[in-house]
Amino acid sequence: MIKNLIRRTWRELTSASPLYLMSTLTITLSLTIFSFFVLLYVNLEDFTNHLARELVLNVYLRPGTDLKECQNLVKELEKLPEVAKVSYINSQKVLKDLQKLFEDQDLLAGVSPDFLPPLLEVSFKRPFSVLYALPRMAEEIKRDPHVFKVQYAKSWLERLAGLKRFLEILSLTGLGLLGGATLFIAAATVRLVLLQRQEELEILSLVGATAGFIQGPVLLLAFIQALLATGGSLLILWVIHLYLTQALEGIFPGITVQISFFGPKEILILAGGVVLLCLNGSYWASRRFLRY
Amino acid sequence: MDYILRVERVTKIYEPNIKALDEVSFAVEKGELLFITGPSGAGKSTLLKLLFRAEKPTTGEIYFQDKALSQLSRREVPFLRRRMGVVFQDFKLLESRTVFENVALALEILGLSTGEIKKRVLDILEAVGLSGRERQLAKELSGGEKQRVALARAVVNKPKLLLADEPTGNLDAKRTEEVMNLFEDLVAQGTTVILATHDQALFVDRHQRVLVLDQGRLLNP
Repeated sequence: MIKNLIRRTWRELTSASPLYLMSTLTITLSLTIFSFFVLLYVNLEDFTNHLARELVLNVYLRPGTDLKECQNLVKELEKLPEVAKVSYINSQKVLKDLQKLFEDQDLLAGVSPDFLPPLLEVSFKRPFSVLYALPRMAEEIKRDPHVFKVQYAKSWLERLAGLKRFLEILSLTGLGLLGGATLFIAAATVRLVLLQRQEELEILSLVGATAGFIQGPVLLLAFIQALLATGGSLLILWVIHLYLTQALEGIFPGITVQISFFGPKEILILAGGVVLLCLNGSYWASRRFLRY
Repeated sequence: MDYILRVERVTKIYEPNIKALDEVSFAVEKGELLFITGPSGAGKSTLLKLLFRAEKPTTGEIYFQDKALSQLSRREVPFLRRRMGVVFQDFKLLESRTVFENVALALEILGLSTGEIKKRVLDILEAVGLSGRERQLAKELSGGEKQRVALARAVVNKPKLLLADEPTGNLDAKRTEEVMNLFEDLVAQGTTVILATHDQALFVDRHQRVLVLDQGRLLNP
């Protein structure tokens, strides 16, 4: 029975191969555009989160605070659920960072490391979600007797949060439109292919073929088309991903741009969605032509 | 009487209000050769469509082997059609397939072996005078040849009932006689045959029952 199904599917494919090739390419192309924008959205999210993590809370310690007191404070801060990491920067490192910052070395001539306070850099797991809690947190940290000052780039973080929201709205609206268009194109392509085969499907049903006999090859071809389209689309996206990874390297000094790609779970969801769409479209379109 | 088919007060109305058949009733015995005649638009093709459940009557009932066709589910319809052979007026061949593939279609759906299909197809092609033409594409055939392929497809699975809509419409006198002989052979083997035709020459002198349809009404029930 399976052998028979494969033989009839092959005959179906070879009798209208240009039609199936064109429809598979159309689905591949629309899927590639949709998936590209999904990746764009995911990467923009990652990028803004990455930028936000760079904007840390700086806790300046009073000069003369000993290492043990520092370690206690680090432990206290690390207990906070929002905190991802706390790094201790000693006075010497602070001076070195300042020397890097100012090109004119004379400005820092005679400045002793002891003059500069050591500091703790606090980064957060989800910086945007703690944005509105930062003033309260800063106040609480400031109450510690060893803390001299607490600073964070509030305005930058707010601007970044605004940018993130803007990109989210823009990308999600675009994705909604593209998703709708992809669904429509894939469904219409499948229907158009079957419309070409309408007469044949009708004849088969009139001479006594069962729905299973007629729809078997149609559905198997839809399944193969869906897998080919997903595979082709992922291949194109992978090539684009490789190109962009190289092209964007070093474009933002000091920031490592990592372009993420779909993981196995996302690939399975994508393939499953396309298979379901093609099978569903083929089933209902071919059912319309069966004259029972 | 052993009836294979009973048509009881069947009316068919197409939208908006075109009455194609009006209270048609008749019965067909097993192994009978029945002619249905009438002018164009009399309702002959509509009646045949109702008999193999391509369409449903608006009112009335059709029984095939004592089973009411209106009671058949969507799944049962193909199995009804496998017991019937139909020669369509417009042939309904798969134009891009060969003569062999078109005829084999009726056997493929039954799941027969390749060897059995080949033997039966070649036998029937010989019977309709198309021996040696099995590899030719249907679209390359003349009207008469297509008609014979359609006939071969309809009878290759040895149906209980054969319905033929103008089966000799594209044939010359010699081929018409050959095809009519084929129908008579089928009847002799126990197949019931219903022929819809407007060509009176087909049934004159044959001493078979003839039903006359006019404007959807049966004139001699």
